[in-house]
Amino acid sequence: MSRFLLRRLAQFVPVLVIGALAIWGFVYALPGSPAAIIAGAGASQAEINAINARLGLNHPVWQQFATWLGNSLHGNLGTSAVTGTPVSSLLGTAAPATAQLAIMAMVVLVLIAVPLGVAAGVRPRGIVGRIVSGFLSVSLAVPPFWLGLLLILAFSVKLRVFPPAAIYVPFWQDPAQALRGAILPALALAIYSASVTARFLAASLHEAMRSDYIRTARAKGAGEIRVVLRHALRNALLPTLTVAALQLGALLGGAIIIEVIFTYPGLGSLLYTALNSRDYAVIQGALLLIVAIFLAINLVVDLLYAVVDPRIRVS
Amino acid sequence: MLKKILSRPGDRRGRGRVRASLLGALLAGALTVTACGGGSSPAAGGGGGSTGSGGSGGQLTLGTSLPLVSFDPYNGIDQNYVIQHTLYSYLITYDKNRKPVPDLATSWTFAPDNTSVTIHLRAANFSDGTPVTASDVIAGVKRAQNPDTGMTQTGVAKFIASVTAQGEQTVVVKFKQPTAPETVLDWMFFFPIVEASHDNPTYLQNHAAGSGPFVLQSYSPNNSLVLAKNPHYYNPAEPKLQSVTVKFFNDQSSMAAALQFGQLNAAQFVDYNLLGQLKNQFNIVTGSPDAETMIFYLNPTLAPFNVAACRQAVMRAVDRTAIMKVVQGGQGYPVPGPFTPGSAGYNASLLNTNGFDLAAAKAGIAVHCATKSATAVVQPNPPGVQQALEIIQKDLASAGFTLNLQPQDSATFITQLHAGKTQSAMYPTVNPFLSLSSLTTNRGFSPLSDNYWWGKTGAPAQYVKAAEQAEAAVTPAQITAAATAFNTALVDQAWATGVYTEANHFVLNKNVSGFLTNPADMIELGQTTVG
Repeated sequence: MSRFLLRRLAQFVPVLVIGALAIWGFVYALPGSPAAIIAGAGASQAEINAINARLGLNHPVWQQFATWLGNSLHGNLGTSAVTGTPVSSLLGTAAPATAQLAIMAMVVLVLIAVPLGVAAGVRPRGIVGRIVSGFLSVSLAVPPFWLGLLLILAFSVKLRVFPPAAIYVPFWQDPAQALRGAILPALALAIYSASVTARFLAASLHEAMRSDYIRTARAKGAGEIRVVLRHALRNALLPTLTVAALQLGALLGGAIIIEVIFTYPGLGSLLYTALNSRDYAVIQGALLLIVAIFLAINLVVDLLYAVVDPRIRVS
Repeated sequence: MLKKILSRPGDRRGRGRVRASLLGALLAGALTVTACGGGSSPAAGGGGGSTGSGGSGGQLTLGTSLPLVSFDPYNGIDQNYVIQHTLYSYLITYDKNRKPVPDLATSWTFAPDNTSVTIHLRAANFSDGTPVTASDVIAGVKRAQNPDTGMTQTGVAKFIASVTAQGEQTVVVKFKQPTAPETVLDWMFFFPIVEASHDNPTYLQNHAAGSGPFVLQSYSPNNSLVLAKNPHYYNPAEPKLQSVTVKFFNDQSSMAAALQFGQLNAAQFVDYNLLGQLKNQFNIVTGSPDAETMIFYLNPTLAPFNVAACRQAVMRAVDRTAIMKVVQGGQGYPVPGPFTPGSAGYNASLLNTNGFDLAAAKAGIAVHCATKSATAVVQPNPPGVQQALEIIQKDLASAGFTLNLQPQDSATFITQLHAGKTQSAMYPTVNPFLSLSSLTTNRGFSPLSDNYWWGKTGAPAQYVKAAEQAEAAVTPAQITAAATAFNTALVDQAWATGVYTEANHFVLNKNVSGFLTNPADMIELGQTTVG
């Protein structure tokens, strides 16, 4: 296990470097520059050149990348061209906010996906199964951003229960305020992902329920709840775990539109603003962090497999 | 409940009634608990419906959809409007009728030959307690005249030959040539006073160094900005507010929802299309009728617009009345050029002689436009640009010309504009000027090689001569003659035509009073109170 872990950790660095190179290429392929945004439409070319010189953007691209790479290996991710704030500071503020939102969304996801998946998977042709399947089909068809707007309309504008401009309060400081401030974006993120996960779980569970070992368990006198939860669900969870983990990665890195709609001060909002203003250092730092998170999540999933499935542990 | 779902068909009794799921009960419980949690948000400052507290004037929470670029007032772009007159003071300001009102300049005297002005400064301090002196004005002009650092101040200050101090509180500004007082007053209106030791773009990127009614307390980029009352402000009666929290939004609809929820008690530059849902609950304040003019541009260096007659024909397809009705409900004024009704350059008759005429457009396009298609760039701000261009597109189609619309984000738009690659576009120009010649500080109307429509070709001689005439005009007769020459050149060359004056809207909670804007629609919160 430790060799496996070390091997996987060793893969991090080259993947990150290749990722950084790809991101750099993508970012510099975009037309426009931060100097244009800072200077504005009315600026003279001399002003733009002066800003480029001040920000070091007048150096060759390969030189800028090499400088950035060297600095980032020492933990210095550069400075935002637009705000002058260190990128690590911006990420340090935004990442915990997104992490908290993602965890909230994952909790909601699990709370929704597991019961619905079980209901749809155990008896797909029953009334409950059909209703749940119908609900899952509808929720898969609704884009998260549209759901977000509907939630704002319903809960913020009409009912005035939850704030539309989501608020980040660290959970340990004020749990109630943290939940209240971010429940709407968490719901908007979670419902679609939960439907995907529930569908997957339902299919896996349905397959598992037709297995020989389930018939054996029933023949041995196990109650239906025990059969489903102790035997079938445990096996159905394995592939579902992968799907759920990918959803977490997507929640962490792909919540850009939701964070923008709810003005939530997370990685998504930071990335959106940085892309619009061509803030290269921030884009680079944020995307690299997302890549690193994905790699870490994949590693954790692989390790969790060993925990959930003793067959993998033994092998 | 769980047992019922999981039970085998043979074991279940009384099928038919579906109960709410355990999940739903748990989720509803969690939501109920969190919904009962109240209190205001630390990020929003005055959110959750809270209004005045902590002082006689209360706390204002202002929403804006324009991201703050820097704390440098020399960068007078729309995005920085929120800090211009809150953190900084100017030499003068204008009232609603564009009459000059003293700010840091208590009085000013023009030389009889209009070659200089003597300005007396009031006793005031910057936010760190340092006195405002003549040396700050001198340093500011020096910076403004440096093309590397002057930003939007460079063009406005171009008439200045030198600035010298006569004591600590008096400056003498000498001009390159006799200059109309209106041009000088425009400079005084736009010129921010920054503490000399910090007057550079690097420091001002994320620090303020002004003497305005507020000081910078905290800034979370793209999230919120908190301004506190300036204890050193020269007017002890202002500001009345204890603090201002500015909340930044990526989306106008989100900002409107935050207003309705109570997270904000004011919002600036609200899209006209959102006013309908807000008007019953809030006070709607419309800014200056001519703070900005929406201009439609055609690139005279790119075919088919490299023929003046083709440009003139295309401009006849601009239906200003229809556009104004759709974009801003008929508010504002239709304008034939960049000058607004309050300006000496405004000529209403041009709306008749050179206004909307589809037949004339069709005839002209057929004869003078070698190719009958072009691309207009649509940028995301301000709202309304897309709708306006779609109306022009439809009318041009009737006239036999295809105008394709291409969305671009701001960074790409500015870069392409500077590179001279934009074939056509529409965007506003700030124009609360008294003087004619101040128009040429805008790069779209500059007579120099920095005009990003004429580029290295340079503006045509007719226009350059008109611009020089405007700069030299001092007497009313000279100004009238210069205005005529300016308008003739603009009509003949037709690379830019006015469409309408933008009506900017500010939405305020009913308990907000004293909310003012100046003729450039910059907010002035000295007399604002909440509660």
